[in-house]
Amino acid sequence: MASANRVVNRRVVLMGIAGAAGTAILTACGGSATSTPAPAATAATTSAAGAVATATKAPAAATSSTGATVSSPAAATAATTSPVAGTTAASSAPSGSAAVQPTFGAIAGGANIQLTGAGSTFINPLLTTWAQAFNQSIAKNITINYQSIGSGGGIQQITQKTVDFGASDAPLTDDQIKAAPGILHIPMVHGPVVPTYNLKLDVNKPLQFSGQTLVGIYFGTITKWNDKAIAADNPGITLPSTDIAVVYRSDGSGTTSIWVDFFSKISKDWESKVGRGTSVKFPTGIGAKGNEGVAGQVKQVEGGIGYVELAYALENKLPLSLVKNAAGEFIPPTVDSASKAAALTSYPDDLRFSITNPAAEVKGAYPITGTTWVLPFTQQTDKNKADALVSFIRWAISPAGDEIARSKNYPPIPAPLKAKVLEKLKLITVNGVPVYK
Amino acid sequence: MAGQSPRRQWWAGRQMGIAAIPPMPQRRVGGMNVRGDAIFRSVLAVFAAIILVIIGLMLVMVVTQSSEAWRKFGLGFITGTEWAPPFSKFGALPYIYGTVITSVIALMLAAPIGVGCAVFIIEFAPAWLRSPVSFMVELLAAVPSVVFGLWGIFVFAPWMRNGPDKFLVSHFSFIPLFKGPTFGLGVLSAGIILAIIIVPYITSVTREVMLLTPTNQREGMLALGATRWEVIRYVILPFARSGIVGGSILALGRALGETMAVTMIIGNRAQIKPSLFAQGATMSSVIANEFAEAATTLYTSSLIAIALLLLVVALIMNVLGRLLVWSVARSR
Repeated sequence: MASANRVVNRRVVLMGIAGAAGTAILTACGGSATSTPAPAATAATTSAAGAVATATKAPAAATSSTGATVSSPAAATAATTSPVAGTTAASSAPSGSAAVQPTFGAIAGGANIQLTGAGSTFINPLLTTWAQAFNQSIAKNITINYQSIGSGGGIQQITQKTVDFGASDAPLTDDQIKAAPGILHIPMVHGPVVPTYNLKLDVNKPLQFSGQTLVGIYFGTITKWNDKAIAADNPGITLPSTDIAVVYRSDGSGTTSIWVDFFSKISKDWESKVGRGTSVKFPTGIGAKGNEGVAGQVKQVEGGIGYVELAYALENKLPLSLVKNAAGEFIPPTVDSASKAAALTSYPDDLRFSITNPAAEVKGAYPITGTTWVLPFTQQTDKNKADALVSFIRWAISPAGDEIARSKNYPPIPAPLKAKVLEKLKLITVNGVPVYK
Repeated sequence: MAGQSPRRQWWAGRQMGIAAIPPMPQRRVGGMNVRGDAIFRSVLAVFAAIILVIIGLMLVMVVTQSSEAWRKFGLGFITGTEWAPPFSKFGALPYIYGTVITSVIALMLAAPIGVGCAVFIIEFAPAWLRSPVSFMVELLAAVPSVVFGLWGIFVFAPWMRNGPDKFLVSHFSFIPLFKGPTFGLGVLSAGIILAIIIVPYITSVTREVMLLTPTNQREGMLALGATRWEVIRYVILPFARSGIVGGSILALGRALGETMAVTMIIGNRAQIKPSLFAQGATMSSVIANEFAEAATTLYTSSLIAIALLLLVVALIMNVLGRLLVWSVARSR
């Protein structure tokens, strides 16, 4: 009998070891099990209606100086080679764009082309919808297979050239660029991050916060809802003395990175003590996993405050607050106010920019907004793939692409930036020959 | 053992996976069969080797990939309490603490419940209830942990916050263990969820071992006028002692490695606080949380170093458990 027992015990002990070790290593190798919402198949309507909205609000300086110089050579080309016309028109000249039906470059007839991409989970629902619509309405022979493994993973995969493009919510660091020479940063869409809260108030009016107040709350120096800093931001609202329950994202995320980038820009203390990144050591609060975790936790605790992506907040009808920008305006987070934040007066040459807390000249801009970049290499080897990739990007920032983005609550990039993107696409070459002229 | 009915003995043996119990067929062994045996043996040897190779490869991978973190921080990685990725500061102690404390809470809660459940199934449950209860226990083991996590966030944590947590804070907050504030998410809640997850492991293994209790001993006790409780106390529990410990070790392994449910419940703060209501973080939860977006190689390497530490902690806990089994077996 004793021997039988020993057999059992040995078996049990080994299973114990294997169980714990197995879980740890699987997680280490495979990353986290992230749930991404399944994108609804939105049919692409290729009307050029959505184009004008972003273009008109752009600051005059940007459209006149950079916008014009960039677009004129492109327009000249458009006259001779008809395929280019649509996007150029949409990005630079709001007046004449509507009539032109855009086509998107030569795509080798018939041959099936599969593009693979990997990275940002944020852009996944949009990118998948874009890809479907592009496949249905523009190029039946191009399919795009996107793996939303996280921005870090996307950068890794494109660096190792195991995918055709990466996608990231943060630009590459200088070290990462050294490892991937010739990589392009193509901004595709913006990602506003919004504060959501749970507080019973007498008035049916959203709360508003200045950046400094938010920093104070997340530093743990403001602990009650009736703190005078919050009261000063919200004249005319009687605030209860409820404790503030701070919630942050526990999983590494572009959302966190945008949130703390904004904090770092307006508070030297935050920058030096907490810093920037996809995961930081928050001075106070509870970590919840994913947008749904943060929203769930805020919903449950009276006095809770957290931050989520705009698209998630709008889909789930969460209470949103206004945030004060550098111009001193309290701006409600919307698709349009986020797009405005990206209409900077100038962009760095490599398009690695941060648009949180844009300068006071950028009016009407929601200040906590990030960007998702698509990352292709300039030197491509496969002509068909390069063509397909450039066509897809051009289409995605065209009016048709914008319309899909808006329908899914993603702010499209503003007109001056579109001009820059088209300029960058010209750098993509196959055997030294540009794919898109 | 001798007094046990052959049928029961066979069944119990089969349950434990001991193949020798039903007598081997006494067939003449021909030349063909000998060769067949050799092939069969080598196939099995390959299967066994696969396990070893997989564990070996995992170890090699984890050790080499984590070397950058070990070179940079040395043993300070284990004792460091600061985990601040933006400044490339990585210390694993809060995660080690979180893993150990939640597993210990889980085991302390799950062991009595699991054993009690097994005793009920063996000794008290009427025949018609026995298999439904056993079935439900095994079903509990099959529930994915993310389901426990979701249930934890939306049902269990609010209930904890407004019920037990509130009660403990208002009456026992002079004990550091029960100091507020409480949000429902924290070390205690995570420990309780873990306990629910591991109960079936303890119950199943304990029940199987209890089934092996010699019938003559039980019947002898009853013949001497012992009560039900005395039979359990002096025959069944001592007999099943090593099984209980073994089941608990299996459960502990599960608790140490459990990721998703804990991540969703524990509050994810890398800190060491005496209060059970404080938020914490475990080794597996930080890997699940941060691996996908870890940008620098040092960051990735530190996370893999945590995986290695988890392996080591699991190994240590299991060795301690085995020592316990041995000491228990010797004292019998």
